[in-house]
Amino acid sequence: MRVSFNEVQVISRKAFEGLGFAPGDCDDAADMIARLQQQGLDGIGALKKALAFLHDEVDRPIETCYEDAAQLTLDAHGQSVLRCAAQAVELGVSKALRGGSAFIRIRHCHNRILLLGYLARCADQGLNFCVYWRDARQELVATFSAGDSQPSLRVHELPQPAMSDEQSINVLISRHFTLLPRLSLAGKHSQSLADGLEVDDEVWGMLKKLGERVLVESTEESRRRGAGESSDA
Amino acid sequence: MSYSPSEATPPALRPADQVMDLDRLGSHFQSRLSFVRSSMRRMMNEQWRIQRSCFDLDADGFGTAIYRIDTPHAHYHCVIFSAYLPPEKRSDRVIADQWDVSFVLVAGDVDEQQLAHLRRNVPLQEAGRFDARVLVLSRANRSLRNFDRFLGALAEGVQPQPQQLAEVGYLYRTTAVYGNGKFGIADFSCLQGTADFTQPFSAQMFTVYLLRHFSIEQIEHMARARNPQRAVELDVALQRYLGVGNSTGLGMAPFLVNHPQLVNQWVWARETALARVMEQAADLPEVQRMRALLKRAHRHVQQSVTDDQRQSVIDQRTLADLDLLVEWFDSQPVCADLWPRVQAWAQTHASQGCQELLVSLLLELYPEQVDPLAEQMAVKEGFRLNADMPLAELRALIEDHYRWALDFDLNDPEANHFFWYRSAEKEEPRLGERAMEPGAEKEMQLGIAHNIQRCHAALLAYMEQHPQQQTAHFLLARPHFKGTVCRLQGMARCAYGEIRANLMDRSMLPIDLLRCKLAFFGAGKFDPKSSRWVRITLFQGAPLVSEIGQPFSDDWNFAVMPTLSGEV
Repeated sequence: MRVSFNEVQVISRKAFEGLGFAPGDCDDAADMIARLQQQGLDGIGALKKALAFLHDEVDRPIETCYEDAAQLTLDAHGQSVLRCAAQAVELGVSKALRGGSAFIRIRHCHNRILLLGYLARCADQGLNFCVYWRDARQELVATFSAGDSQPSLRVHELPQPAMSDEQSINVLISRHFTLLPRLSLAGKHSQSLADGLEVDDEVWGMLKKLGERVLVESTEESRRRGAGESSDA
Repeated sequence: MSYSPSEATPPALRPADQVMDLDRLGSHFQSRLSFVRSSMRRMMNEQWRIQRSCFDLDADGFGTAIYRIDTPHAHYHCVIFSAYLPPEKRSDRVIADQWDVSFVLVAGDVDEQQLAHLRRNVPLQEAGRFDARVLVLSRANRSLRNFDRFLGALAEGVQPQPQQLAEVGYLYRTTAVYGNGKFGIADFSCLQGTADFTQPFSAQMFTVYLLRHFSIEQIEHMARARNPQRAVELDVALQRYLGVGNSTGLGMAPFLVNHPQLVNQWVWARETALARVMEQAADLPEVQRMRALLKRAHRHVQQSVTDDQRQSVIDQRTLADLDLLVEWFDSQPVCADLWPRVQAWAQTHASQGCQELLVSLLLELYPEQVDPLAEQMAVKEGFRLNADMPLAELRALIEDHYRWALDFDLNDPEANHFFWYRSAEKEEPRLGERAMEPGAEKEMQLGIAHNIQRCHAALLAYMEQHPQQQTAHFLLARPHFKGTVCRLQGMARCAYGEIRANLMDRSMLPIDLLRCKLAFFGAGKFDPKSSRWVRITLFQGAPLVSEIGQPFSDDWNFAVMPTLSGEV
């Protein structure tokens, strides 16, 4: 089905509310999903995969393994990047703004592609981003040029199964380095909003169900008084 | 002409603790910055053309009407479906599933295929699906009392009594006006690429204006069908005095809490406009105009009818204060600093209702100072974390900017009396009493003061161990507070935005939140049905479609009941 950007945001936010995300985090996470969808990178599909982890996830501290003026290594202990994207990326951005470049590595995290949804918000900082992560067979590399909220994404097949990389994601932030050339995704942004965004019906239904978790069953009393159409008395 | 007051500093914006107080927000009136005013200004200044291209209605007014709208930049169509509504289905609530009329504003042309799709989906409203060619989706119910009286009178060749419109100022009452991507329609960002609907709610308000036009054409059509020989058209003065109603419940309240940057922008524009007016030296023409405005506003409030006891008391107090204000104002010499003096007088002697009404009237005096701000009501929303803010600075920021939130005693059961929730019944927003009703564990996250207090306590505890760290470190250790910290850092850069109230408190009146938003829309004639539900009127006094293109003074708010020719 085709849906609007706002619908993706709203259904994702409600789903995150249903999952018990903290105040304000629902909007942040929903925005990451919607931006990924807008970029043509199937944010809703990524959310579907994330749900398997998010259902059982309890909000817990992100461990700082190493930090200096230009580097940051975090351990998410198996949590989704939705939980720590803002803290990690913004801390890296502040380091890069001060020193020219910075490197962030988040270990043991899931749903790594969703980080691109957050980085799309950082385009106005005058910084370039290069993100890379790998699974058993392939390495994914995405870059954002300064001032551009649309990434270039390349997938490289690995010649042989990768050694464990701790399910990590790496972000290089700099004013300087050369980026991947723009791929065919260019121009999709404005087109997609006017045409609506294509999403999978089944996943959409799942998200609706999740959002329904925060709905309160109607009673005669709540129907009569809760919305306030009748008098206060 | 502007002047420099003797203190040498220009009047500052009113402080947030005064402006963002919920009682005061609940005392707002429509103004030049309201969306119906700015929409009307644009229509008139750009001479938009509105033409009927289809009017296929039967004698009962049921059928399809289509209007074509041409602006200097684009063209649109408004498609209206009118159908029989069984009495048992008549409801203004979100949980309704049928209405007297349902309608859409569509970008560009509407071909047969799209019309067939709209005919199937528009009457379903929330249950329908749409695409981004649809900009606004809405529905409305008739005011049965007015509709029957008006139809009866016009069919008999006589004009309805103006008093009827003073009591209920419309034939139709909208119960929802959807924009921004709902049910597949165009996102607001799509509109920002056009020149016609760049401001928030401008497309929605324009669509409501078209319903007003339709309501006049429809009732005249029905009168003619009922009695072709005797039927007359509605008097032009009554047409102008006819608005469109709106019936609103709790849904607007979460919107204001969830869009603090937008609220900030609206309030900032209004307060900036007021500050600009305060800098103007009063001259005789403006003083005379103020006298006329005070008189008209007095009559408008006098002619506002409500059964709600609280609102009635407020209106009476406003009228009494207006009498005193007029008396004082008439005794004042025309002098450069008259406007700051009149505001100071109201501040000392008048109720908040009168004070905020005065703000609206002051904004009328200097359109060239005020109207440009109406083009600045939109804002790009979203918070970014300031990760390297030192924790001591974060703490100071909370204690300075959110002192109001820290000062609430939230351990008092009265402070947690209510909880806001969405019902499983069409997700209708409702308010429950925590001690008595089920569902509090699923409450909506509207407790800003609660969040701030929890975050502040956690921050103080964390700082005992890590006083030198930055905000990101606190949030890596306590990720639960990320949303709250992003919001408070962002809102600390805004002059206004956060409503200074605990929305769970027993003494909180949701009607104040509704009124604040509705006043920015341009609502008048506030007629509460309870502390959670209100009926209002939009576009009462506005120019007619036939008057677009004629000279326009933009002086139509606070409409008063017309006297028809032949009346005494």
